[in-house]
Amino acid sequence: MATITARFCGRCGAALAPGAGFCGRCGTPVVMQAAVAPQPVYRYAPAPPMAYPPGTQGRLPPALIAGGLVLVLIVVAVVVGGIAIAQFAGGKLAPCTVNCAPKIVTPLPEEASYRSSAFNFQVNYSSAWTVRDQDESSVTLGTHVGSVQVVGARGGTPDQAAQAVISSLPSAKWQDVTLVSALKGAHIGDQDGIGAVYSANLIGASQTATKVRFAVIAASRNGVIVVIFAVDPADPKNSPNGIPEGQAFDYLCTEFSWT
Amino acid sequence: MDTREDPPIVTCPHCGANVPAGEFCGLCGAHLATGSPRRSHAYAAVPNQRVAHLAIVSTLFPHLAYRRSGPFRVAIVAGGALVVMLAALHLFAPATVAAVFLLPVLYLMYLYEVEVYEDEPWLVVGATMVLGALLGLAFANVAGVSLSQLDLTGDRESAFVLAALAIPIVAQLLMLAGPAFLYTFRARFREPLDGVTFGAASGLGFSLASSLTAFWPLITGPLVANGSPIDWAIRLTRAGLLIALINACTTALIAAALWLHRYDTRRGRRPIMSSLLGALVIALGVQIMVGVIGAVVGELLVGVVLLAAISIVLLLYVRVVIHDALLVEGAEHGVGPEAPCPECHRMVPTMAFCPACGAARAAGTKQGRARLAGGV
Repeated sequence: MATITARFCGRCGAALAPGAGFCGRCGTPVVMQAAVAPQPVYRYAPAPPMAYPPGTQGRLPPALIAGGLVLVLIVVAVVVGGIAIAQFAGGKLAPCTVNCAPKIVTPLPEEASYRSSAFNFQVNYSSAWTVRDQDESSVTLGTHVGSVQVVGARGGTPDQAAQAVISSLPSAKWQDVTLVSALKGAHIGDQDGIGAVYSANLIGASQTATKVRFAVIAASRNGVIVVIFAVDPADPKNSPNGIPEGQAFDYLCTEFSWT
Repeated sequence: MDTREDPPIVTCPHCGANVPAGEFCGLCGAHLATGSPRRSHAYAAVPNQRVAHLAIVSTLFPHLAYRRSGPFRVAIVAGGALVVMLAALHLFAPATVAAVFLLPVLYLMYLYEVEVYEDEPWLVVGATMVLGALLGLAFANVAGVSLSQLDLTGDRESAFVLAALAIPIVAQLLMLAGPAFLYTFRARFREPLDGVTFGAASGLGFSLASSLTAFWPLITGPLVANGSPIDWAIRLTRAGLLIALINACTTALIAAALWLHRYDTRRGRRPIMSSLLGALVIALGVQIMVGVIGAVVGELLVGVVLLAAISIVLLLYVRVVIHDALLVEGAEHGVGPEAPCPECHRMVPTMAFCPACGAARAAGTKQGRARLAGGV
């Protein structure tokens, strides 16, 4: 047996080089080391190679494991990419786009209202909806399953205002914004305007994505531009334009008052 | 023919037992030269790393000997590079799938490689990864719809309560379902590292399914999507790496403490960090912090930086618990004949810890232990 009269670091246990002032592993000064009695450290012999029968060191060759893992990832990615292509090319989106259901404007049972002190317009809405935010020129309402925002401004055209709304949507939150259809006959109150319905994936809290449909309607009168932004979870199979609360939003547009 | 004489017998300054000489006490794992029972310079599962060493593989894949863990480290790096490459090409759907599958697939390979499931692979994989994935799928569907609706309607208060409190707590309990099943009905999986492995597997299965569900509208969107590749790389780092790591770590932490609570016969010596109460507080606290960050931090990069900091601290905490668990577990094992240590590959007496490198025998593969020790 080999006897090694080495000293050891009192902090980390590493062997100290002869004459060293500091531990080579943790840097603790040797003068601060507790006196550790030189102790022989028994060195065990390496296991002979024959101790391992062939095939028992590793169940799989390392290169095969790494290669296999990357291959699995690539195959999965390609398969899912194929599914995505099929979805995209299959045209499954939006069987119902424009005027695919009777347009019935049902009066709301109870109304509440918001008046803009800056632009003097009035928004009438269902009392079941909740005001989430409001100031002198805009109001944001939480509906049953979505929300609607009415914003007043001065200057520009309805087209420009609508485009500004779309381009200001943050891409980190609004993914795959796609025009579904133009809203023919869009109006705000008794003022004709322009409007369009879009589909998108909205990435919300905790990075949860949701398929949504939203409508942007803009109209102007006497230099005041009003933009209505209404969003709902997408339901293209059962709802006109894929917006479940489309009728309620339509009613809000109809009941809007410019004075 | 081996003409080498037997190692001398020395007295361990920590446990007082007469043990074969070497760097470490084969019974309690203490460093013989210094008498340090904590031996924080030598992590009990992989002694060539310090306990406070940031490493995913040696923390969540503790049964792997260091030299066998290379392919897993390479695969993590290669998988990450693949995700970044796909994101840079705007192929966000395949990038998402590659990111969320990366760690769970690796873990499945790890379970196969170390055979922690002994002779019941389907039961163990089913009760951990598959059950975790099914529960994650169901829960993400239910919770995701509710959270999306609150987001859309602008109900911030209810959304906060749901995202920051209800979802993290319920999700953590669901991730524990599989390990709890094995804890209750398979008492022969008695080692703390079994708990760690089952917890991590369940957490990764849950993360895989819940991330896929959360991203499903994006995955089924256009193949070449719009949006910034940097945003996507950050988003996928969050979902594929950080959330998966955090879920795996919190579940592994609770499971390890649960296993120790039942099987450790020397509870008085167990550090408070690895107590069941401590693990529950830390794990649920971390999950709630992650929920709060998701709910209130709108900036993607800031959120990811915060999650990365949490992941680092949590990984180190799990290492400390694994290290402590392996040290207190030592007395369960007897002394056997000489056999090669799977970690340092030296011929050593079969004990709870390798006298040469200090690796815990319980951190080796179960089949390997029996094979190398000739059935001991």
